[in-house]
Amino acid sequence: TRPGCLRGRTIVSVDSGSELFLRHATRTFLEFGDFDRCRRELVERGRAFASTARASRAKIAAVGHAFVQDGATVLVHGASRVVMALLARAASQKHFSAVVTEGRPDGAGAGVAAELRALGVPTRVVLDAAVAHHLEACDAVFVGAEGVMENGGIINKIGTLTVATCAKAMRKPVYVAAESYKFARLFPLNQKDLPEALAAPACSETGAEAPACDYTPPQYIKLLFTDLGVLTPAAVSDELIRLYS
Amino acid sequence: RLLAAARDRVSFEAVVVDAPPDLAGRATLKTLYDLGVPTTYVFLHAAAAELARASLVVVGADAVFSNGSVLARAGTFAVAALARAANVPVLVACEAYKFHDRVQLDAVAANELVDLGAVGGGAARKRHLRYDVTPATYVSAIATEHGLLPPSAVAVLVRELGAAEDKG
Repeated sequence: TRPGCLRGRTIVSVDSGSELFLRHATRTFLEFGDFDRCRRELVERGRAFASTARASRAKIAAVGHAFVQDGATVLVHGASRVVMALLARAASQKHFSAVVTEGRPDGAGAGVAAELRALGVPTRVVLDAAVAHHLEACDAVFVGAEGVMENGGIINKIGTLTVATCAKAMRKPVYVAAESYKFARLFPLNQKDLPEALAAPACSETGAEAPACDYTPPQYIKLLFTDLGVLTPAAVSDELIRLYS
Repeated sequence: RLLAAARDRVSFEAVVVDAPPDLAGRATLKTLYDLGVPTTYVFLHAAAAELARASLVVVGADAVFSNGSVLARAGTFAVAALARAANVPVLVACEAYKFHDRVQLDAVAANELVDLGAVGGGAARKRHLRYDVTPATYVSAIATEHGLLPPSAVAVLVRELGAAEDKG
């Protein structure tokens, strides 16, 4: 069971975010003779890191909204607040419609659809199993990420790999919106390499089981929108080497 | 060494794929036997069936080029291609000093020729290329002392290590 403050999300981003915060806070000179000064410096750096993290969503929306074209239909999977910020920014400037997956077992799709409708975006909620059928009429897929892997792949809500595989088969681009603190030092080679914490199954009310997340390899992802800019999956490892060195 | 470390943490089975004339796999077989790992030994031409039931392929490398392609003992590309066909990930284990800023697209541009002597009563000589080049798309990950990298990150690491050298 996960702490309530995570609101159903996984610990991957907390892990990677904490690691990056530690590096950020201790990266430069800290050898002040005075302990109080050192403490104030650390608190200052912590606040700077937190405000950068908070500002990321707006930055991502700024770089990513251009990829929602006027008159397009976007498919959304999962309930990412980053994706919502991006679509909200796009909705303020152009007309588009949305197809949202139901998102079983937690059924988060309904909430996402309500938010999109409130923004004036015509939205339909579809069965997870009907994604392939509806992708034909869509122009692009937008998903968030629980964690971005070293090779540019992502860990995200179960069903993301399904959507991405169908999108690739139909030549629809898959765009991922994720803050850079989600860049993790993880490198799954296949589904069974997911960290223990994510492998735990989330059961639906009918007893059907699946892990909470799946791993989508980089070849299914077109671009990642991050606060570091628009990156190809290959560029993620470049950024990671820089972030962690 | 990688295998010894893995052996301490998990139990696994191994398949050693070997090929003449070097038959370098015999040394690997001995190492695995000494570690107590249940091992199967096959020649390359019989490897397809073994790869179908493998969950991971581990190979070494003699060099890794900047485009992520891997120069290794002849036969490596064949194993990687079989692995890809069976949807098995391929892990290349090699030290970062083997990363080269050159790019090589095929095995013929630069290689070593091994002469295995005359055949057909001196009418021809039996020759064999020592290395082959496995394209980056067949490689799932490269394990170096700096961590796991995707093949696309090789050029990045070469750049970073070069920069570190220039500074220090």
